[in-house]
Amino acid sequence: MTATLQRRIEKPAHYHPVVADSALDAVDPVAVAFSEGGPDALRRAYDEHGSLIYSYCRRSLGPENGRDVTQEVFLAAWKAHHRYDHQRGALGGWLMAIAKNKVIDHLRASGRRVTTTGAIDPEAFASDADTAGRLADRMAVAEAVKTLPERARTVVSMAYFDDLTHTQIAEQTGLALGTVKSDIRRGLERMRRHLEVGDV
Amino acid sequence: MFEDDLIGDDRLEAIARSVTTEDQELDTPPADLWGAIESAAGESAAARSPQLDQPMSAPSAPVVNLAARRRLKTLARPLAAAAAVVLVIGAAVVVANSRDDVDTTTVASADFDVLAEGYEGDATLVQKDGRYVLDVDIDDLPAVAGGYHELWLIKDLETGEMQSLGIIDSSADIEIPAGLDPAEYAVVDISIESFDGVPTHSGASVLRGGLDI
Repeated sequence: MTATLQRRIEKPAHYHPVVADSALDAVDPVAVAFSEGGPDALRRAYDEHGSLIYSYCRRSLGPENGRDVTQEVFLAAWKAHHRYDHQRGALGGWLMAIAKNKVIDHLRASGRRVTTTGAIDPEAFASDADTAGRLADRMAVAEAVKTLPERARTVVSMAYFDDLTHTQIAEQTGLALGTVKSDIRRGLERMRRHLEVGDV
Repeated sequence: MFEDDLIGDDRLEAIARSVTTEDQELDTPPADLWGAIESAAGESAAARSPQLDQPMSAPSAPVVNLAARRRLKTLARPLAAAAAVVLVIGAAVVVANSRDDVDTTTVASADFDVLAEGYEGDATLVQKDGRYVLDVDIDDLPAVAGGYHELWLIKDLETGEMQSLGIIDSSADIEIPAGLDPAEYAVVDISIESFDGVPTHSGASVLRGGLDI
């Protein structure tokens, strides 16, 4: 007689709904792996987003402090990886939110001031919290645009970086006006996912 | 975030319009920065209690370590208890089923626990013409950006010993390679993987079920 052992496998403590942005989007395995704390997940997150975080930290704080704070960001993110919900926001956006907080904390602690032109003076390189916050938002949005499919990326860049009207974009690309509008809508959604990051 | 707190299009557009060319260009971090992060992450992991430990896999590790040991803790005990159960071919139940092939014997089955929304299914291990076949019945899997879904038989969640059965994107009958004894494998798992050239399990499982014998 064969014994039947029914082994119930419990649902893991962190249940992550995987929902695509839209019909054309797909799940981000780096983000899913990171939220689940998989092996190599931190390395893969760093491969994917390290340049973005480092660039932001370096531009806000200079090369030395920028490097240190980049390390702090990834360590803090890893420690809190279970709080990252890949349905609620893009991983790059979540990391940028952590980076913004750490940069601003650092600036307040050191009490330094900003040069709005971003001129890099090794002697007196400094940034103030407001400027650093705006830079974080701009770089997060720039990153969001980069993650769009090629056509939407082109349309969105033309709309916001080149300041063309929808009609001008349609004329120059040969796309239907409706297509331009829906690509822009999609771009805005992607930007939103990079700025609204939930619990950080 | 509640509806009211959503960032408005106006604000998004204002930020987007203020993006500069420099904002779009990124610098390469110093080459040794990753090493510093990795070792610091390893140190803080070691300092934590073993139950909460998230092992960072070493490049030279001979076995795959499935991460999320929190999950493993609940699974380890029942699986260890069942590890001694041997799959007895002769006692396998012949099931009158809807399959066309009457020479098919159902050996074991696994209801998948859903680890990510939108996924659903089960797997049945059958014996057919002297070979084992894993009949995976799942809804069509969503596309993965820069990646794919992979099917695994896991021998031991604690040690991470497992065998890949390859890429999967829909229901399929997977013939178990000769020489692989399914009795040694307790768990069927489907994961999301990237095209990163790394053959080990990503740790991001979407479906997992124990084979009930």
